[in-house]
Amino acid sequence: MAEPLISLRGVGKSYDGAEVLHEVSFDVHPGEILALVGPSGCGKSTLLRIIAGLVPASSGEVSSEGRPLTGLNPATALVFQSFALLPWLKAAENVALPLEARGVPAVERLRKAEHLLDLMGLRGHARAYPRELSGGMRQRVGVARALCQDPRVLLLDEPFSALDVLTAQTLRDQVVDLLHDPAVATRTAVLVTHSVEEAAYMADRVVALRSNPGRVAEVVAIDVPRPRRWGAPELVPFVDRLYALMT
Amino acid sequence: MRVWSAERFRRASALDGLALLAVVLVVLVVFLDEPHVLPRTSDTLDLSPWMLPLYAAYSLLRMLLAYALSLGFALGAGYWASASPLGRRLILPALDVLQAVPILGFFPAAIFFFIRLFHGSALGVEAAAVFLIFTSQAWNMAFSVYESLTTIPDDLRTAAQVSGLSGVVLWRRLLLPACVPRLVYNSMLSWAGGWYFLIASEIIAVGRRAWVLPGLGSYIGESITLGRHGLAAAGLVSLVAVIVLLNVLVWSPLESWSERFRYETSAAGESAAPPFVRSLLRRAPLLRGALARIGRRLGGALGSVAATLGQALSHAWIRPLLVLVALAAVGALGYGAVQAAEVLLRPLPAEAAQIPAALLLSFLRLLLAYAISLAWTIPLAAWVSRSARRAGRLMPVVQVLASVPATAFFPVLVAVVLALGLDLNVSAVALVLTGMQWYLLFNLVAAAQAIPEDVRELARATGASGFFYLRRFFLPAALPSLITGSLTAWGGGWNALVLSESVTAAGRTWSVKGIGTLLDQATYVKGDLQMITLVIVSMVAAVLLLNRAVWRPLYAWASVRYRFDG
Repeated sequence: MAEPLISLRGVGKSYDGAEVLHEVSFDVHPGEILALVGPSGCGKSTLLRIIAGLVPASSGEVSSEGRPLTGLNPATALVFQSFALLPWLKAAENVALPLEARGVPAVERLRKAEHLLDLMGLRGHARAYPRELSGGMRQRVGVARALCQDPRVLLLDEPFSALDVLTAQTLRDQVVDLLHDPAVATRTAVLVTHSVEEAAYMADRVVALRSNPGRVAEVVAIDVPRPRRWGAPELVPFVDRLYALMT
Repeated sequence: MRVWSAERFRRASALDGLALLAVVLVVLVVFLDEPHVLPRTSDTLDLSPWMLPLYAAYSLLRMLLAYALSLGFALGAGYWASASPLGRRLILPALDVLQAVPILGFFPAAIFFFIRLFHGSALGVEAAAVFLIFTSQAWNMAFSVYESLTTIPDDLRTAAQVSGLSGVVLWRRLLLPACVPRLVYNSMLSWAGGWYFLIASEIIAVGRRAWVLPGLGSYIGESITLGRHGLAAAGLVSLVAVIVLLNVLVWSPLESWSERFRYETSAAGESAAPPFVRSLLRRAPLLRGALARIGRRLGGALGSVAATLGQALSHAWIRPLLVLVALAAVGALGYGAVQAAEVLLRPLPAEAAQIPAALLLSFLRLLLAYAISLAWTIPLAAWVSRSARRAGRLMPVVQVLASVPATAFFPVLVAVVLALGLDLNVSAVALVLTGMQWYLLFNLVAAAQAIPEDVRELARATGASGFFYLRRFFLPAALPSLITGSLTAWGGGWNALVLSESVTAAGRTWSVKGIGTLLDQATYVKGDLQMITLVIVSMVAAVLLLNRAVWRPLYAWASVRYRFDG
């Protein structure tokens, strides 16, 4: 098996003496979609922020691309549940924000942003402000902004929770397709979700977490070929297994 | 028209006292030891109406300078308070006190200070006027920057961080835009307040024949003094025209533009810009494009200035520099403390015995003006509260009326009172009234508009009217706003008091007994440092005492007891 892109060994996290994460270990391999699933308060969002380098681990080791992680993780890009778009910037400007931060000239960065918006099915919306877009369209902009950094690993923090059922389903398929699209460099994703069904539907492997403090119950491989169908009978045993692990 | 929030009330601390002491000490340092009397000779002002555009330009220039200073201060102080615990502890209480003190009382002190700084040149008076306007504008703007920066949603901050934003890009894309809505709103309030103090400073400078500050305020004051009422009217009309034009061409478009920088997407707070400005802009794409381009340039420039400042503050070499500045400030304060001790240890002058009585008389005048303000603003606001449409029709009129600085009418009012042979107490109360009533009206009308539609329907359905409606519906609903309005109205009243008790017209000075007159005599007749200090200190103490003993507890009680969100 190839070298893991990201590797966590015995990671713990405490806030003011209260232990949130305890001895968490797993790897993220290139080309896979790894889901972190667990009840609320199990620290799955904190884990994602540790991987992103936003929050330092209190104990244990985190390495990214074979090197110990210090500060922001340049190999990752984050997609937010709340979309986190700047309301005063147009869609394309929001997408191009990471490039602007690196000093890429306006023409070049906006060309790339519009290309990514096209990929996300938002052709013609580049000049719209976030408030003029629906929830699903806003999250597409959020995904495009993350992809704009050409991350090796896409970090998804409950990206579909704020969307209605139909929109969420469309967007799930779109994200899975993107990770296999030759036009996109990113192949790997870590998905945080509280929905066991979503984890089983999208992921290659699922890290099931328990709470108080958050720790790994088991890592379950979902060996069901793609394309998958939502609620397909071959997914049911995995869903049942994950429910059993979490409770 | 400063807007007070519950949060702001809670930020009071013991540091208020220290800040107050610092202010007093600075005043003492300014006056140093020898007695000063402002000279009463001056150049005369050319009263030809052809000079009006020039005077308007002078006035506008002072306003612009002061506003630029305030903007810089607001961004710096607001950012510092939001980014460092030390900054927060120093800045917030200081702003709180500075907002409450009657600024006009310090104007003579400011004139002395700046005239010394500029070695007796008239530029000193100019600087004092700009400084006075600055002190009326900066504090609430700094608060608004602080509040904007501390309420940026966490996810947006994180998104900016993971996108690698820093320096100029961070300021341009996140920090400055986040400040826009509150900053624009507070800039409008500050700008309106600035006119009040600009006109006041011009009138003081002329009225005392100290130095001439050529401008619209001095033009109006001088023509009234000489009894040329037609010219005074021309001056007033020009002033109103300048203010209304600026509102229509600058502030309204800015306000509707600032809407785009809000986080919420709800349409509840539709922009307050008059529709015709927006349709005008829509029909003038060239103008709109030009405005947008100017806005972008300005944003970019502000962003890089702010980022440079921010980076400079984080550099290692700036630390020793800051320490040096702090040491210098401490040294100045220490010097001031020695001076203060020396002054206060002198035997009290005979006039000092008049201070308590004068304070009481002034307080009674404020109380009377307050009662008159309440007597007409409450019924009007209650009437407005019965239907949402009434407010929409009334507000533009009131906004235009209130945007004209009351100080511009001071010379007119005084001339009328003198012509009719009325007691000067009448003009004193009337002048104070002009400094108080709008704060009450604006806060009450805002409360009237905020009454939920279902409560309004309940009142209609129960047939509530008259006094019953006032007692059971409007007053409870408007109480928190009434209290904040009262607090700001009293602040405005104390300021107006300084100008209202002692007036100079047609070469004579009339005065009524009061704290404003005492300050006036101490400054212009005797040049008595000890007396000036005592008067300012007792006035500031009275203001702070009233705020602490009356308004804050009342507000704390009302904001818990009378709220709609439950």
